[in-house]
Amino acid sequence: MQEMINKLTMQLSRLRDSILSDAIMFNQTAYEARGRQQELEFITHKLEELGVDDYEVDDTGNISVHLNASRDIIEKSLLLFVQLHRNKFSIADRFIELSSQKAYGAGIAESALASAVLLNLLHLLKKENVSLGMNILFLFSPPPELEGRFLALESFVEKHRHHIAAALEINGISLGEIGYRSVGEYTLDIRSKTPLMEWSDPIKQVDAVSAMDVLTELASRLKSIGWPGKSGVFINISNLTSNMKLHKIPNKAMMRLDIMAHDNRNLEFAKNVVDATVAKLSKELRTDIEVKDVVHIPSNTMMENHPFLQKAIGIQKANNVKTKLGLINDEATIMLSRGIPALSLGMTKGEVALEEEYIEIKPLVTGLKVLLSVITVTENCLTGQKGGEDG
Amino acid sequence: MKDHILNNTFHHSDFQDIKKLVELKEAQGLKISLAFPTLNEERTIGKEILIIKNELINRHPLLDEIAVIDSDSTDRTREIAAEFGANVYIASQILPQYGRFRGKGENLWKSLYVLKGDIIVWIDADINNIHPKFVYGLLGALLNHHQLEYVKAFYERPISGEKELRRSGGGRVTEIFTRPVFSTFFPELASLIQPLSGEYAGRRELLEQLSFSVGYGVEIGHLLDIYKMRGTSVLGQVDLDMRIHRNQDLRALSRMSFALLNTVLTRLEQYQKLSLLEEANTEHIALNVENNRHVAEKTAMTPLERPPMITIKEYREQFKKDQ
Repeated sequence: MQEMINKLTMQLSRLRDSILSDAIMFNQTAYEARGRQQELEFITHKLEELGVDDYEVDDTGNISVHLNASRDIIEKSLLLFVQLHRNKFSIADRFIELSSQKAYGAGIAESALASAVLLNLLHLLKKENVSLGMNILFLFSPPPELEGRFLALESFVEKHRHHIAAALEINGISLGEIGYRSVGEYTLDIRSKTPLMEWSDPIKQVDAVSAMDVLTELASRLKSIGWPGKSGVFINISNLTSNMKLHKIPNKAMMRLDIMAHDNRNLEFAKNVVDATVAKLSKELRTDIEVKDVVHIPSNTMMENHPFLQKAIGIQKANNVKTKLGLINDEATIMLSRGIPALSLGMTKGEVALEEEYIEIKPLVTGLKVLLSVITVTENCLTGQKGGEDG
Repeated sequence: MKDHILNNTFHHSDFQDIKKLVELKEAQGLKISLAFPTLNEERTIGKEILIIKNELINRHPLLDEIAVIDSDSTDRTREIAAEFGANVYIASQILPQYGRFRGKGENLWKSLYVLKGDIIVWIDADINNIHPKFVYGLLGALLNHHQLEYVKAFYERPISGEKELRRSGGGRVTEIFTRPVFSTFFPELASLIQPLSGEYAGRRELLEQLSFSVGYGVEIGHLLDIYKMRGTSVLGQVDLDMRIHRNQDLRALSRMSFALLNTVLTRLEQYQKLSLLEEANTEHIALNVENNRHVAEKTAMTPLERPPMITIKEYREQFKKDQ
């Protein structure tokens, strides 16, 4: 096994250039194709070009490939995946500028780099006929229609849950950061509807309230709740809109609210408090307030002492990478909530800031080495484990 | 009348099977070189080399070399190009005994001496949306169609602003100057969609017989000379969809048109289509406003041409052309 790792490691510098090249082209592809599934077309086209013809595309757009999918080992699979996100930046911002040390451009640090890593790693392992004693299920999951709702990924995991023994998500930047636990989260859409009023109506009727009044009052009450410090509850108002009309007072308004907490008990408690506050305000103002759950991600800390996590930390240390344990991405909680051990690994250093986004080129080889090593030891960590548990 | 150029018009996707192109190249026993003429292109040269080298040398051995021919850039162009694996040459150090001029045409001419390929591809170094199709599109036409000797790119050219793209306004000199000139004097060439595009490929046997204008006139000079020597049946063009790059301001385009006009007039006289009764002015005149008054700004733009490379002794020796 060590011999195989050494052989693969020797190819990582060359792989770095292929990854950068594919990441740059991925980042500019969205504009070129002008289609809805342009990111996925890029990936399938690249797979074909690399001679990986045995990929599958499911109804939701997930692209997957098995490595070592012989009948006896498919039952124990490592899911190696990338969750794509739609690039919201203009094409002028997305063109990459490359210096000797860094690649600059909006989008490069996220889906572009992660997809390129997965594509090239798959190609390398296939080309070298690497046999790991377990199946690796490579997955590119399409961008969610609604950020935070990973329906395609969820349906894939649900379909394959009985043979996914562990999952590893590839992140673009944050080399050294291992995501292993999730924060619990509810996202709610809260809607208020009031009678339509002319500008002059509130003067005639002093107690009249608009839809926007209702929601701003609700927001004010929720934000002024003194949550106990240890509960880790945070209420975030991410959007507040209304139907503005000329010379009319808005009669429809919508607020998107995120409730976050470190553990499920506090999360459920906070959700109950929000529901109760809504009910009370609705009664006080004699108006209907509708609450709709958009996203629910339970918190999860099951990975604390898992050998998968411990091995990953050890590998980073052996490669002189300082480990920082952190939160796993929202999408990976789909695995955790089903009892599948899941980690996320950063591939290089970089930054995503408002004015500048970049990745560093040199540390990419270290990130790849860590990823390759984690993959090769996964089988030992998962002995006896097979598939996600129910729930 | 048969329109050869329109008959030899392709789309890059016609040639996207790169493996097949590599087979054709090997079967024809050809070497292929790519060169980027550069002057202060540090923003784009790195990714151009990285992507082309990765796709068309490492993954598919379609190219045998990638070179940068630089006009003494003062930024990090040469350093970045070397870092990403190009052979870097300084134009003034190639055939120094023949003097040095500054201009794209000069770099292209000198590249013929240092490049080894039987087919040469030239690509501008300021392309933002670089993609291997810029190279394999042009090569696909030459490798699949033996009668073709010189293939030009064409594409849509949106203007790149600070934060967005506007979908028109590219190719202004072509539509306002070049196509009317072609329509008047060389109507067969008017079927070239973007005669001034900076991406083209040709066979060495043809390229070494062409004069090279040192500056902006190099592309139009090539087309007029090829037309005179071989007709239009050796010319092809390939649709590359879109090219996004820095756009030049109107003043620069005016100077470009002036240089093109000089090249066209030279060829018209050379080919006895027109005779000027007195020598043309070689200073471009632009107008500036200073202290609320218009002031003429003159820029000397003496037309300079390099002779066909085949006439250069060192070249003939290097490529054993006298044997």
